[in-house]
Amino acid sequence: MTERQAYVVDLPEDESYSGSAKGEPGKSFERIWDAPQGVRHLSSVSHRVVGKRFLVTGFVFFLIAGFLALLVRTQLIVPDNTFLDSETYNQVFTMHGTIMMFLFAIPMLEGFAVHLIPLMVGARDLVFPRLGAFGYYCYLFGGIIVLSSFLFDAAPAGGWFMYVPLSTSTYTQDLSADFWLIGITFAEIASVTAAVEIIAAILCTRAPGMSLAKMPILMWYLLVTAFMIAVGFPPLIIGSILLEAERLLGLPFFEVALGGDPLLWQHLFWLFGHPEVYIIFLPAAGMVATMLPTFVGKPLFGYGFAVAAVVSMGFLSFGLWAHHMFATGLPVMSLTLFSAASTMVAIPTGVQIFCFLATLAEGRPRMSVPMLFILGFLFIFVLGGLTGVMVAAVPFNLQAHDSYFVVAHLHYVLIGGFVFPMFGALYYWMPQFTGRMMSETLGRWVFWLMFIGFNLAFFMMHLTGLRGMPRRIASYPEGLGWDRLNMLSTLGSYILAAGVLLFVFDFFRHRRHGTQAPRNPWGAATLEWLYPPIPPGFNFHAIPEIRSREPLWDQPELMDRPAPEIDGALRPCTDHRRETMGNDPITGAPLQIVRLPHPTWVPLITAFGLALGFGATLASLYWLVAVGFAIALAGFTAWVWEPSDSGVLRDSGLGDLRLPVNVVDPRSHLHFAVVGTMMISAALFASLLFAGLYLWNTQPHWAETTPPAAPLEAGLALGVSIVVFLLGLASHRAAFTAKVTPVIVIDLGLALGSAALGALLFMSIRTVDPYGSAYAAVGWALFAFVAGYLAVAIYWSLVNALRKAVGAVKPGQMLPNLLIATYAKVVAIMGGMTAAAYLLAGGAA
Amino acid sequence: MTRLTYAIAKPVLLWALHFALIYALISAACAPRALLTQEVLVVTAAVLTLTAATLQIFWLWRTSSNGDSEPQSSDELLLRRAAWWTALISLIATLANLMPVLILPGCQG
Amino acid sequence: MSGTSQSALGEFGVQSALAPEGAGATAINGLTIGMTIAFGVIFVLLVLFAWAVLAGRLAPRRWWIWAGGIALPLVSVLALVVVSTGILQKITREEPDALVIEVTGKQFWWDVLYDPEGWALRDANEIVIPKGRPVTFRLKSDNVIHSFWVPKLTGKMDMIPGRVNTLPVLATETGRFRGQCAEFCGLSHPKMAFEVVVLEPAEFDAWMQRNSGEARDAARSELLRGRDVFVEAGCPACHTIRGVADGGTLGPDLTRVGGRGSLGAGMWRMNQGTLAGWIADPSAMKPGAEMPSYNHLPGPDLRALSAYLASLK
Repeated sequence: MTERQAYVVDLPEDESYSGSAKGEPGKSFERIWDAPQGVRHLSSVSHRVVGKRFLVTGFVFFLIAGFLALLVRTQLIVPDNTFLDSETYNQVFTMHGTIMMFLFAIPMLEGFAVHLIPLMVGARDLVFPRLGAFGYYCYLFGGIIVLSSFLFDAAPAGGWFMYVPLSTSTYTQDLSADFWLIGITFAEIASVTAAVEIIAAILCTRAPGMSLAKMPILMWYLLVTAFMIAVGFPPLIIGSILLEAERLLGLPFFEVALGGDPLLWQHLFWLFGHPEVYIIFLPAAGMVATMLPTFVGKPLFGYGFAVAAVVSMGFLSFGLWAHHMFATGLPVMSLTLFSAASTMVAIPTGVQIFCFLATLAEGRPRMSVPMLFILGFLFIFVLGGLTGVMVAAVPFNLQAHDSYFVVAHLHYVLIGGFVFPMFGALYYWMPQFTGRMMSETLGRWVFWLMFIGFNLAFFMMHLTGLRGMPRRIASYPEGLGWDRLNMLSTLGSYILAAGVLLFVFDFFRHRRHGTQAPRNPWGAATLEWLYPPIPPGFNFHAIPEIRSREPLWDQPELMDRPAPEIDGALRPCTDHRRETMGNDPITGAPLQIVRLPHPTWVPLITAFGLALGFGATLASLYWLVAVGFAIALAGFTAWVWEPSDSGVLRDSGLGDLRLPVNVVDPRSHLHFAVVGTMMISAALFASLLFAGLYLWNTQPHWAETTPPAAPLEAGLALGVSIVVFLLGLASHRAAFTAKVTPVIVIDLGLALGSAALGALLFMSIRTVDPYGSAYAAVGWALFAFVAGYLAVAIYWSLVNALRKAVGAVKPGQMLPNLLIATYAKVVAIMGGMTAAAYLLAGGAA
Repeated sequence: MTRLTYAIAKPVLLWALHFALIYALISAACAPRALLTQEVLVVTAAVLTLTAATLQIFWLWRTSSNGDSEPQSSDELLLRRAAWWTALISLIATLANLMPVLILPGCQG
Repeated sequence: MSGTSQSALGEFGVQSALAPEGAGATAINGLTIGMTIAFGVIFVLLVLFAWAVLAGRLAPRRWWIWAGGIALPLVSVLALVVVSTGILQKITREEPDALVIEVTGKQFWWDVLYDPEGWALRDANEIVIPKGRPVTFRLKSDNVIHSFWVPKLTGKMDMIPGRVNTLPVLATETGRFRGQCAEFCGLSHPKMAFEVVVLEPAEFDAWMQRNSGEARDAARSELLRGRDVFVEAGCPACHTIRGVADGGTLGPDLTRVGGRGSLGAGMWRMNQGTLAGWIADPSAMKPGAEMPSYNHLPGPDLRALSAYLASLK
């Protein structure tokens, strides 16, 4: 990272060029942070509001999917049952899996992340509040689209894995698969935006002095999870887009007759699907690692071990995707590679589990309800982990795969590894949300009902599976040895459900009758308990300096006085803006003051525009699609067109230290957001390249017979991509200069270069018929992908130029040039690689 | 500290690269195109593994208490321990990647 | 004939991987039992360890991480990979002189072709194999993905459009073993089963001889009438009865339909009654089946047709 001195104007604070164009001078600090009331509550962007929305919506989806699970179990209670017909049953189990994986687990962990990160790292809000709100609305609308399929009697029935060809239009003629593909892809926007936000929030907005090594351990878990989402979700997003393009436009990506391959879908799906399990598990394990020390009264044993374990797990979990494909006839050598890699995950998992056990051994743990759930987690998850090692053994997998053994295993891992810790976390952090404690007595009942019900329901399934019962069957004949086991499983599921219902009851009970939570009710060590529950909307009057990993235990000045009086950064609120501290990502040293947006309708409107666009696609109302996306585009424009705050120095409240506002620096939170976004983009692009390479390798005949793209244009495109890259470098330099107007030339150059690159790539691929083969279609998909990114580059650099031309940019405010520089460099590489692919791929003309 | 932060990610990134390359090699040798012979596959994979493992062992040494004599803060000690353990786990996992190529006589076992 | 007539439908353990009757399943079952014992012991030890920790009897030690985090997983996992790779090599090895049986997954039944390069005997939904003689199943699909799974014989293998997968099987006992589609394939996925009948080698050879010819002649007048109904009602558009109507390949081959132990791909016992019910309304018994309803056939015709089909053994 080349670091240059940022261009900053040191102006007195009453100067009009203050960068506080959107401040609310008439309001006090507290009023500025007030959540808007009434219907305007929907315009709130506060992480506390958004986080709670994620949690509540996610939990509602949990209850819906749980209800569907009960339908499944009720159907299977006796052989040859006619409670549900096959079609309904298929819809029910498809939606159960879909909702649990996409609309419950991921959003729930996002909810915890969004709510807890700022409180735990010492920030007043999440770093990109509007993005958080936007992500939530995308999730909500996407979820509604998926659920609404029940109303149209077109609920997806192809399994949550949507295998082709069953999900292609030949075998699924109604809209059910489209509801799934469009709704889920839309909801995934929330996941990837959350990834960007989590990365930037954890790395860039910590309290002064909170170095990487002093972060609460949950932050490491969430950081790794966010990186995993950024790399893990793109394969599915690409797969879904390709499949929807096949269904909607007839492009033959998976069409066997034209050189497509059903296994390509499975690769893309499980490239996402396996890391997904760890994406769900890691934050839950992080919450365990946070709660455990509280109940033991001692710090986590082996923080460093845990960090190593989490980081390596984040990587290793990507090397296992094909263990869902052991029965597809892959070469034995590939199977063994994935088998070996799969079992390797046992090492970091073991390290983690033993860190937890060692922590438990440090003192006598208090057996509160969250602690019970932690012990339940250890018991269930370890069992699930051991059966996981079993299914990683290929020969055993060939029997167990797609049988109830796997159903048992995955529920042990997911319910043990996510649901139990999550319930513990809900009990633990509930005072943060409601200010009251939930019942210890009822909590014990909830735990034991869930624990006993769960084990009864799912332990039996190991045996049911080995006795030969396949998954996803709506009925089974009598007498094969499955009858009694299924009966027991169903009874267990009812007991489990009773536990969940009791929790819901206690939730409503405690909101009225629960005891008021005192300050730091559990005696925790982490910063979110600094204020008495419920913390104020701004989290911290002043952001304290952090000198310990357990600040509430080791820094007496934090707990010996009322929270509002604690010293720290940013107590002065000179510009009447929402703001928080920005830090060096590694050392935690103060770097900048981050200005945060006030309540706004833009996220809701933008998400609504997208929802309209996606919904209208389902209804084939293409004019409405255009309207929807126009609204979204207008929303994004309003989003970026706000006056810049950067370029001035302000008092930080830490001694005499003056800090720049929204610093122009590669360590800026915005730059981290762009880097995160480009990581996601690179993963998307890599997924497409993988698709092309995969088809090239496995379908050589089609690769030979597909005509090549025009080489001259491709060669020129390669040249132009280098020019765009160089312009990116120039834009990076320009961001640090004082003169604004000359930079317009670079902006316009970027727009022009991007346009030329797009045009040349089009000229090159123009001669290839996208309907001719799957291979050709992937070539076009590469073009469409890069073209989309180039269009954004053009639009963005034109906006930058226009803002400069109309005088909206003052010296020291050229952060966007730094941001687009990184963007343009990555896009140039992707364009160049596409051009190179066009040059190299394709057979004889 | 910056160096130590990268030291946590480096060994396991190398594992990822190594895994991707071994997967690519096996795919190249075992798919219909059959680009590589068994011998080329084994030799290339072995060389890759040797290279990766050597680097990881080097990092293991660098982050051990003998490899780094500079005085360090408690933060740095902690990151160093994390880096050491990551290197260890990555090293084991990298060697595991080579196992199938070594123990199987051919693509179909 | 003893082995082929009585369906194993609803017989305890007939689809259980824990009661193997084939070389593959036996090897895997050994692995299953070994892993269950080993991991069971590990789990119990872990629970005892955790219990001791909770009781406050142990002080935390750094070597726990080494022992439990590195050594224990590494040793057990390495042992497991080596053992399971050995078994994998064994169960996937194809014998060059094996009897090849090509099975194509359909929605929702199985098309069976014995020895495609030689006898080329076509049948459906019931597979007869010899005991102790290696068989290689060649697995295909021309529609969606299915998975071929006979737990008592060996592990499963997917049937994927555009690909041909192979699955070696060596049956070690005679008997009837139930199999079932293990990859979700649509509406009637749960009703896509089949049976494998393992005969003594000599019996098997005789069976092949007997069934490679034309269908059994209709002996009684009702059966003759049934045969005419079969042709007149248009059944040959989809179904073949060798010697009566050739060429129909959309539906199962019916040359020896009455000889199969079960009807509807391993779902119902084979008799005239279930056959008549099937013909009258297939989609009531198997939603999503491609065969149209023949409810419009007059009662006597339906009876004759089903009697005729039941007689084809």
